[in-house]
Formats: sequence, C-alpha cells, structure tokens
Amino acid sequence: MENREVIVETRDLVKIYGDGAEVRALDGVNMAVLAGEFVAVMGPSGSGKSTLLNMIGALDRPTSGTVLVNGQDLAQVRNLDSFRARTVGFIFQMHNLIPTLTARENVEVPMRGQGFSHRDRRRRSAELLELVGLAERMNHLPNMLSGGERQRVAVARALANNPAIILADEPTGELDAARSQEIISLMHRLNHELGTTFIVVTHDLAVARQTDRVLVMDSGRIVREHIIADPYSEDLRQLKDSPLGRALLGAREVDLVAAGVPLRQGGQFTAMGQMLREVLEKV
Amino acid sequence: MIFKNLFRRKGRTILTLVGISIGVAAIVALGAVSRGLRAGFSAMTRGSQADLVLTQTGAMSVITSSMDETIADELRTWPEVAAVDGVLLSNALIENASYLFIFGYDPQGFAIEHFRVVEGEELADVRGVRGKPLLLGKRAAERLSKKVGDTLRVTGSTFRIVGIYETGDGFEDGGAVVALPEAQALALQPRRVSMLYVKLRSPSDADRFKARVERRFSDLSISTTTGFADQEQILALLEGMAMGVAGLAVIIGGVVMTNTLWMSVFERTREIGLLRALGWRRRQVLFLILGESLTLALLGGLAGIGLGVASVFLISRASSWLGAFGTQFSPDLFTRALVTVFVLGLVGGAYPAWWASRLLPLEALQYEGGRGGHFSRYLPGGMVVRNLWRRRLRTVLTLLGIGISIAAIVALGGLAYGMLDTFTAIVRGSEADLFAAEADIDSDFSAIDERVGSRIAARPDVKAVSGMIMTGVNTEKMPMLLVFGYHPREPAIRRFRIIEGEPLTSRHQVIVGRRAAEQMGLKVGDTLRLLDSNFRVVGIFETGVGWEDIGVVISLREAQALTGKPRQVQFYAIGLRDPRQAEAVRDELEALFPEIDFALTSELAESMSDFRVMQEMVDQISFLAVFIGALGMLNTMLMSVLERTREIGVLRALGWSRRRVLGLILQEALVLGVIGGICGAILGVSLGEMLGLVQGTFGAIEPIYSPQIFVQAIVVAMIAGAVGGLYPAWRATRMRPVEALRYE
Repeated sequence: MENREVIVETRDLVKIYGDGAEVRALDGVNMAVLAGEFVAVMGPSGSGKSTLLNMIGALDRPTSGTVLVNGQDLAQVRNLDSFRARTVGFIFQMHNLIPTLTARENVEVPMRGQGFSHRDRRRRSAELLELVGLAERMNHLPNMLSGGERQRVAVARALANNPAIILADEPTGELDAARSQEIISLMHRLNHELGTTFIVVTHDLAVARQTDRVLVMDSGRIVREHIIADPYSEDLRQLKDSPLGRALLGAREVDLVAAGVPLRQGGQFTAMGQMLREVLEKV
Repeated sequence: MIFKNLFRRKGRTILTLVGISIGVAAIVALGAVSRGLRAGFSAMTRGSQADLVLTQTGAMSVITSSMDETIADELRTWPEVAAVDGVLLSNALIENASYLFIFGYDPQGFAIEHFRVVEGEELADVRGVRGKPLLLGKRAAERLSKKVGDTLRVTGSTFRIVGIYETGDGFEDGGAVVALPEAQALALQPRRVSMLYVKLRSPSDADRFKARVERRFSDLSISTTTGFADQEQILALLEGMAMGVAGLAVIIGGVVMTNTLWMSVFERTREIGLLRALGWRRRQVLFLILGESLTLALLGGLAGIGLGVASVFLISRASSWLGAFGTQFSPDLFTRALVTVFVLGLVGGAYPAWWASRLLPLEALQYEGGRGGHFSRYLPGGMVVRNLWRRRLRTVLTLLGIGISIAAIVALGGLAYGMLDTFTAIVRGSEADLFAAEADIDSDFSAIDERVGSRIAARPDVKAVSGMIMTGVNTEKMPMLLVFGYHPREPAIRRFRIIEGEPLTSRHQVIVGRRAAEQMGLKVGDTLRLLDSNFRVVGIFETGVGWEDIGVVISLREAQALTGKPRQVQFYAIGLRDPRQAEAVRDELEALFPEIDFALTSELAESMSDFRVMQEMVDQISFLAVFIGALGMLNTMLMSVLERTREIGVLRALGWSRRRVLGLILQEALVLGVIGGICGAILGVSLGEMLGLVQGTFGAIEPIYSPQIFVQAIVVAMIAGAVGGLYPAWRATRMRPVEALRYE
C-alpha cells in the first residue's frame, strides 16, 4: 500500500447549500485515497457523505477548496462530462437504470459519445454483463430483473469505460443481507482483479467491515478514520460506540476503551476485548 | 389538498391552463360570431314589420337566395296580402378593397322604414343629386370615415351618400342601402331579389297563405320573421364550424389534460399507495384526482372565456367583415363553454383517476416510475422511439393534434394549387403569352375597357388579343353556373373542344361543358335560360379543366350585357409574335397602362391578387397550425422532460454532455413532428378529396398536391417539433446532475 500513488485528494473542501439558511454540508474536508484502495464512508444522515462523493465525481462544484483526481484539479477540468464518463463510474442506491433500455443498452449508455464503435460497445457490454454474472439476462428490461440483478447491471454500467474510480452511494441500501453480500463481493472481486479504486458510502457495518479503510463523517467533517486490519476488532470498536454497547458495558469501561485500552494484543483478546466479545455474542 | 397538488407543479398547471383556455376561447369566439350573425338576421327580418319571409328553397343563405321579382307582383294580387316588399342582399367590393353588405330596398316600401336616418335624407326623399343615392350604415360610415355628401365607389359604380342610418343591428349598421334596381345592377341580378317580405291583412290568414304559397311556388321557403334565422343554412354551417372547432379544442385540451393528470398520477404513485395504506378508500382517491382535473378544467375554462371575449373584441375591430356582422355573447354560450370544460375535465381525469384508484397499496408503494413495457425492447430507433412509446397515449394524442393542424395545411394548399392550376390551364390553353387584369382588385371585379384591348392589338409585336369574362349566374337547374364570355372569332375560344354539335358562331347561342350538360340534363338543341335571356345550346365541349367543364360559354357581347358592363372585359389574353420578348413587352405595356396588371402566363400564380390572397390565407393557417402544433409539442415534451428528470440526471452523471441530452430530447420532438406531419398529410389528402366530392364550383376544383405542399407540411411539423421541443430540451440540459438525481 505504501508505494501506491494518491488517486483522490481533497483539500479544505467546503460546500455550502442554500442562500438564506446556510447548510454547511462539507466543512473543511481533507482526505486522500490511494489507487486501488477500497474505502468506506460512514456517518449519520446529513453528515455530508453523499456530498463528498458528488464532489469527487464532479457532479457538483465545491464552494471552496480543491478536489484532485489523478493529480488533476477538477476546477481546471474543461470537459467534466468526459471526465465523468471516463474517469469515474457511479453506482446509486436506487439502481437508476433507464427503464426503456435493456440491461445491455443500459451498460452501453456511458460508452455513447466516447468514440466507441457500435461493435465495440456491443462486445464490451456483453463482457461486462458476463463479468457480473448476467450474461443470460442481457436483453431484459430493468423491470424484468430482480433488485440484486438491477444493481449488478448498475455495477457493470459503472465499469463501462473502465474508470479508475468507482463511486457508490449506498449501493446495498435497498437490498437484503444476502443480495448486499453479493454486490459487495462483486465489488471486492473487481477491486482485486481490475485494481479499480472504490469509494463506497454506506450505513451497513457489514459492508464497511470488508473495506480497507473507513472514514467516519459528522457535520461535514471527517471525525475518525479506521484502518481495518482486523474486521473483528472493528466490530468491537463499533459496538462500544453504540448506545447498546454503552448500556451493556457501563460508563467506566467505555471510558477505558476510549482512553485507548487495546482490545486485542498479539492475536489474543485482552480482558476488555474478551468482555466486549462476550457482549457482542449475546447480542 | 387539490390546490396544493396542482400548485406543486406550477409550470405544468399553467401550461395546461393555456391549452384548455385556447380551446375554450375558440368556442366562445366562434359562438359569439355565429350568434351575432343570427341576431343580425333576426333583427333584420323582425325590423321589417313584415309577417312572413319568403326565400329560395335550398339557398345556403339569404345572400345566395334568388328569385324572380315578378313573384311579388303576383302575391300582391292575393286577397290575404296587404303588402309585399322585395329585398336584395349582396356583398360588394368597395373602393378601399374591403367588402360591404349592400341591401337593395324599394325606397317607397314598408320594409325600408326601419332604417332610421340620423343624418341627411331618406332614400325616398332624394331629388336632384348627382350620382346614384346611397344610405350608409352608421358603423360603416365610421369605419370608412365617410359623411353625408361624400361619394363611394362600389364595384366600379360611384354612389353619392345621401344619409346615414342606424337600426341598432350590427349587421345592418355595417352595410349600405340602395334602391333595389341599383342593387340588382351591382349584383348582376337584374329583376331578382333575395327575399320577399310579406305583410298580411290579418295574422289569422297566415296558414291559408302558407298553404297557397306551397302549392303555387314549390321552390320557395316560407318562414315567420322571428323564425327566419333558424332557416339560414349559413348559420347552420357556421355553427357547425363552431362545433368543429370546439371538437378540435376538446381534442387539444383533452391531450393536454390527460397528459397532465397522467403524469401527476404517475409521479405520485407511491403517494397514492401511501394514502391507500393509511386507510383511504378507492373512492376517495378517485375523487381526489377527479377533483384536481375538474378544478384545472374550470380554471382553464374561465381563462378561456376571458381570452375568447378579448379576441372577438380585437378581431371585430381589425376585420371589417366580422365587424359588419357584429357579435353577441349570451350567457348560454358561456354555459356551453363551461359544460365543455367540465366534460373535458371528466374525460381527461377519468382514466388516470380510475387507474390511481385501482392501484393496490403495496404495488403502488413499490412503484418505481415509468416502464417501457415488454414490447419496447423490440422497437427500432433506440431511446428516442422508446421514450415516445413509453407514453403511447400521450404520443398518439400529440400526433392527433399535430396531424389535424397539418391536415388543414395540406387540404387547403391542395385546393389552392388546384384552383391555380385550373386557372393556369385556362390561360395557357388560350395560347397567350401575357395576361392582363385590372390592377389592385380581386379578379372577380376586374374590368378593362375594350379600347385598351384595341390599342394592345394594334401593336406590331402582338399577334392576337382575346377578351374574357367569367361570371356566375343563378339558374333554375344550377345554383351558381359559371358563365364564360369569349369572342367567337378570337383565338382563345379554340380551347373549348366541341365533342358534340357545333362551335359558337353567333348571338343567342351557348356551348355547354360536358359535366354541366350532364348535371342540367341539356342536349344540343335545348334552350338554356340565363337571367332573362334564352340561349340555344349549339354544342357540348370538353376541355379537361374542371371549372370549365361545369360552365357554359356565350359570346363576349352577350356576357357583357349579362354582367352589365358593355364594352368592358374582365381579362385579356395576349398572344405575341415572338414569345421570347414577353418580358420586354410586359414592361412596356405596364408603363403604358398603369391601371392594368400584365403577367407572364408562366408567372400568373405569383401575380394574381386572388392567389396572393389565397396564399396568404394558407400561410396564416400554416402559422396557426405551427402555433397549435408547437403548443401541443411543448406541452408533451415538457412533461416528458419533467417526468424523466432523474433519468436525465443519471445520463449526465454517466458522462453525457449537455449537447447529447439536448440532441436526444430534440430528436424525440422532431420524430413526433415528422410522424405527425405524415399522418396529417394523409388526413389532409383525404379531406381534400372529400371536399372535392362536393357538387358545384368547389367540387370542380381538383386538388393538386404538389411536392411543395408536402414539403411545406413536413417543414411546418418539424418547426412545430423544434419550437415545441427546444425549451424543454434546453431546460433538461440546464439541470445540474445532482439536482436532477435528487428530483422526486
């Protein structure tokens, strides 16, 4: 990870919505994502996660601050449409497929106007749908597909122009646990096989647990950052922050954890870790 | 809740209101005109103080009704009759090239009494005035800025205004009154009247009198002065037209209405599901949507009434014709307009409301916006065609709107070209190189002195000159028989190829067109009565030109007598020794005779004022069609863009440029326009053919559909598409992707 270059970077990113009653959706965000990283962005509703994602994807312009993608300042990019088409891929919470187009045609949408020939488009869309396991359902309209299948089409569509970064805004928000896992596994596979960078906004701990790093946002700022070396440890850490964990542990233990008492040392749980683990298992 | 729902999408609501109100305005405006006309006719007959009115059976209007005035003499001898007054109504072209209604009355009769002279003298009192006396209506006087003592040129004759009258009836006050013989001379209908006013000795004699008239004169219709207007076929026609426009308005309004409600219901599907889940009954949902639809319709109706009243006011000020008729707004008319919009609201809202109420709560809550339907994946043409297919009903309704507009252009254009072609054939057939008509006047009224003809004929570069007269005469067997006057020894008559009998050689002879002969049942050797002269049929001809084949040809001299214009012809066809010099000769002739228009026969179309007027009319209708079509298109495309806001956001997020999105929406509009244009062209041709089936002068015109008309129609449709699609397309591109994605 050390030798990889920074692919996304924000500097003092501020976004203010509204004229009268100002809402500071982003309040000075500094972050960096390395090429090939799989990053989750978490936080309560309204904390600025989606706004951050929109800034990185050039869907919206910041009030102040800079966004650098591939070392390029987005404020200097002339053709943002082309940037969106080639450099980033989007996956939305609602799959947002075009209802009149078949799965395959939906995948071809971002390729239009990017200099692909009709045959190239056909070939690539077929490849991508095969990659996400939908080769047989290529000519179905979105309303003939299940929720999970639609989201897989959306993933294939995001990959259409082989972008360096994929931005996903709660890609599993509308899916059940099993379908969620399918999508996450798919994204992981793509992350490993293609080396595509993923930035995923999610509320789902199970999703966040499987990423390389979690950025926690609140009120437009990044308040914490976890590098997830040990998913289980991360679970415990999440637990002690939750009201449930507080109730089960009591204030003293929480303060201890907050003070930095380690939960695991040398592969073994510490006393505090063991206690949390028991609590977690009861839950 | 209803109002809140409507105001949730202000733009859409306003657009819908505009659509409905234009329709309603058309109903109100046309209704007011036809009612004004009815009131005018009614007031005219009632004011006459007569008990009964006699008109020709089958005449379209009192203006085309014609009967012999000797009938009046006979009626006067009947015991039931106290007095009879013959009246001739006609419409004449006056000096500033506008039309004026001319009423011919007996100055001594009882019917003229209701023309209350407010300035100057009564027609009966006039003595020793230079020129023929004329009473001018107050409104006409205002319009023409004339006062007592001024002169007025009517179709070539000069009248002296001796008085100004007022009857309180817009129709009469917008016209002029002259002595009956003068009116007959003007209308080229000597000794004929449009109607007879009959005053009975006792009202109880009415039934006996009616029965006697029916026995004696089978071709006369009798009505009371109050019931007279009901018999006017022109009113029926105008009212029919008003109904037609109302129908069109209902279609366009319906398109807009259904469109709006559909969309509003679609986009609220989840909300409706929620209402149902919260315990609303089907009926409640149904009434909610219907309530919105009716509210929308009624608001549009009220706006439309305002618009209609305003437009009638403006039109009657601008147009002398309508101004002469006068208009009338009755509460009844407004009721009709409101009932129409009510029905519109019900019809437009019914299906969406029903659909909404039938939704299962669960299904509705899971609804995710428009679908393509399974079939749509087999459609060719990609997104453009599929997007149109997605809302089939709307697309079909929009096509209908555009189609009807285009049909009007094609049908009218076809007829105009057909007429032009007929005319050109007549002129070409006369082997002429130049064609002369009086300048700046409708060709019907053209008059050229024969001395001009002689001077032209004397020129060394002119080979031959043929005088021509074209007029229409009421006959017993054909209501408007076309009569052509040609000199038997001039070259132009040669085009009438005799298929039976002999050519025209002398006076009291007539040759009859093949179709006219069939319609009137005439054979060689029969006698044809034209006005008060008898003509012997010496031959049957055929030229292949519809107009001519339903007409008859008499000698120029007799045609001049018939039209009351001795030594004058309507047109000259001029043959040159060297046709290549035509342009140069024309220029010389125009310099010599500034009061006459000379046209190359090859350029006749562009130079004849009639055709210019007709072309202008077609152009105006085209403009109206573009307007209506563009409005429908604008509505449809705007709705379509609105409902696809999120989709457009997705496209933009996926890297589509503004130009690409613009292109997509514009393409949809253009496809819609072109398909509408093609449908309209087909509809128009059928309409033209149907008009062609009508008997008489109109039927003799074979509509000609030049490629130009179709090009024009398609271009018009495309302009409608582009104009209507441009704003929505522009709007679609202005949306920021983030906003579009968040749009619900």
